[in-house]
Amino acid sequence: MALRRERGSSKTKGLCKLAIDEDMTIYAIKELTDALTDELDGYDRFELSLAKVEEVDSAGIQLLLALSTELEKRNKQFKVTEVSGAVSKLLATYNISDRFDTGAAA
Amino acid sequence: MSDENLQIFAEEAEDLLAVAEQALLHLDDLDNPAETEDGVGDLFRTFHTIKGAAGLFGLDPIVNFTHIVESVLGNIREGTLAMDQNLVSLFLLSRDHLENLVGAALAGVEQLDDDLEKVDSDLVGKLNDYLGKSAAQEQESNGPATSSEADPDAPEGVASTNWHVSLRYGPNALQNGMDPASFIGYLNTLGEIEHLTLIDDAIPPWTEFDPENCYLGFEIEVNAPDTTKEALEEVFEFVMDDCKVAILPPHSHIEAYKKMIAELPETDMRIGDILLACGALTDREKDDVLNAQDRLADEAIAGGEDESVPQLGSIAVGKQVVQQEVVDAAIKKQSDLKSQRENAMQTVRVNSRKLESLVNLVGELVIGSANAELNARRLADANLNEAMENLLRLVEEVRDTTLGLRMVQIGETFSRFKRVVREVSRDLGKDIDLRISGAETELDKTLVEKIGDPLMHLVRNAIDHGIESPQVRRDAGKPATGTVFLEAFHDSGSIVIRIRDDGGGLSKDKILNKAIEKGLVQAGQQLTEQEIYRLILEAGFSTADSVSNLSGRGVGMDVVRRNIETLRGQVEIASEEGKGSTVTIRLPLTLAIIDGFQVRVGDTQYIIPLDMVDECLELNDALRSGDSDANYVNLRGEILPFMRLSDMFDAERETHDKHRDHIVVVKCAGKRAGFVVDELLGEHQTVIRPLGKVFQNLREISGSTILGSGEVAMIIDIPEMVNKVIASGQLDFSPSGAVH
Repeated sequence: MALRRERGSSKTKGLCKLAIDEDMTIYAIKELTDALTDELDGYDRFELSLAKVEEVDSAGIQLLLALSTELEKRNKQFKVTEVSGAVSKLLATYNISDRFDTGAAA
Repeated sequence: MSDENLQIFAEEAEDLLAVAEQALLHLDDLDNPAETEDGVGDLFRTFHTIKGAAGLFGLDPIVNFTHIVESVLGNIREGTLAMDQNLVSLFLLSRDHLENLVGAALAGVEQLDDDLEKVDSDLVGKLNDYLGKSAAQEQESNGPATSSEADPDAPEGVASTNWHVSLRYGPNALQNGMDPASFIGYLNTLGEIEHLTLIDDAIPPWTEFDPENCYLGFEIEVNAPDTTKEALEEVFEFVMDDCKVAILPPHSHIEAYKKMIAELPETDMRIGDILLACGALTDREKDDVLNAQDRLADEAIAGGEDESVPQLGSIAVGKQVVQQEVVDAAIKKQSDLKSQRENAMQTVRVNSRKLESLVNLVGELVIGSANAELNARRLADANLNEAMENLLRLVEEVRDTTLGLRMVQIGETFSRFKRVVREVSRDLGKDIDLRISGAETELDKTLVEKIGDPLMHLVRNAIDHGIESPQVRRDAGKPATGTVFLEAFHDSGSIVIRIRDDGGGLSKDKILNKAIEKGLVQAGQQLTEQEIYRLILEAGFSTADSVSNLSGRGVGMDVVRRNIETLRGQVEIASEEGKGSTVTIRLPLTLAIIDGFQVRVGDTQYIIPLDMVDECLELNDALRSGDSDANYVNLRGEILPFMRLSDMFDAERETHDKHRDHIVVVKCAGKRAGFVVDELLGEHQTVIRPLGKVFQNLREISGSTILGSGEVAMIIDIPEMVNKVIASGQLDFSPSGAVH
């Protein structure tokens, strides 16, 4: 499964910790989006780790943008906790590294 | 990067550089604008492709260098710079330099050495001069025109020195594999991306969001002072269907920004802010643009659609024109790619070592099958013999096909000389035309490689010594333009390459005097015409009155001769003073396996290359003209000199009753001679084995081969022997000198 709910997620606390362990490319993007859609309800805060994303393309970045915009609209918190080198590089290319609160760990 | 990929790149680059050279050499006639345009287009594409490939491999020196070349070519294409001979030469030098760069990259050199570095900066300097010039020209031609067209109230161009690229991707871009990131990456190779703003305004709410669609847009500032609009447009050529692209050159007129903004989906204010953030527009410029936009909108509302329609119409037309060019270019590129792909399907690259081992194996196969045939014949089993026959036929076909694999057309080697002729004749101030015929003649790849240098020498000689200066030519009543002919054709088992010029020809007296001076011949020695001409092939011989940097230093011709002789070939020179000279090179068709004619002399078997055998006769009294010791026969009214191989190779003459002498008539370079042998054994597929070093000076034998029985047979060097027979007969046996 491309999307993994990590330990520490709790409905009562409203925190959802997610991690994407596979490629965020056009080939996997549909599956990934559906998986994310399933998680969106029921939590207030989202943390997403992209530390293990080996490949990412513009579809992946676009998904991140769509997700963050959507959660903002729903008044929910969204934070990207960790990014892999590939993600960080593409974010820098697109000059949007600061759009995601990647936390001090990144 | 793996060596393998680098190898592929190098091979590709080599092909492309060859294309570039061709294109450059076709640019000779600069008065023909259509051809020039095609040529420049070809060049541009080739350099562009090399740059792209080099960029892929991160070969920065190549990318940087090609980039500048491409920029100059771009200017020529756009018509801001005129092509001239100096530029052609400069591009030729650039091409050579690029070849060296590719070579360096292949050798894994990361830092250019001083020589390359110097050439690099030299050429870059010269190319940049042209870029500067073209910018000035552009200013000249475009400057006043734009200002007269422009609205006097509107400010001139914007302050920004960057290119502005505006991209709005269509929904299918991602699915079609057109990832914006790769285009931006490529853009980065053309110039430096100063600022990039990603526009995600078009991303719909989550419920409507289709992650496989592309909703992205970009506003990019590229600092690329050397690039052209066309070069930038080419970046996006393939994505045109899936992306709206607007490219504004540095200092674009503010109207251009207005147009662009009007066509973008986002609100004017938002775009204005983005452009401001990008640094594309200054604050004041932004206000200007936006106000004008509002005014335009107001006018449109006030005056109905009539007011704005012509304006928008003209925008649309303007855009159409641009797109038409792009579409044309795209179609051309696509068809080029297609034809390239078709070519690629027709050829397979094979490591030459593999081919060599195949040829060796086939050689062994031939010997092996000869052995099998011999044993089969001994068994006299009809079925076995029939099967053997079939097998032999197949082996023969395999042999021919295998050797055919190594055959390449000589045309490529010939066309290299076009450039030499062009350059050398320019250096010497001579006007010379190179005419090539028989470019499709095929010969062994190893031969092609080895014949290149000697040929080069001969061509240079023809230009330097052969063709006279235009003045001398005119005085002699000849056309001012000299002509050098390069011809190749097949002739009885050999390939003939002929270099002919219509220049001054060789002066026999001059050669003779020089030879006497050098002590090569004794004064008063009687020499035939051929012998005199052959003197120039001796070491340390040069008749040029002046030593130029091209030739005339007396090294060369003897090297040419030696090179050709190691290939088992001969050189022949013919000349007529005042009319020109001809150098004829004869080379054996292949180096490895030949069809041989097997004969027996005494106890030893010999092979005569079958292609050279004209006929076989019995040497009887009727043929002999009475005198049994004469070394010639009367063959149908023609004198045919002959030699007994038994005398030549010191074997016992067979004299028993049943013995009959056979004469094998061979033909070589238009000369005929006969060899008397004891027995004719028939055809034999001969795998040529070189002789050891000990026998290197044995001129009559060109090699050896292994027979089916395991015996060794000598291969007779026919050209050498024919000369020997004729010389011993003391007959001038050139075709015209036949004695009847």
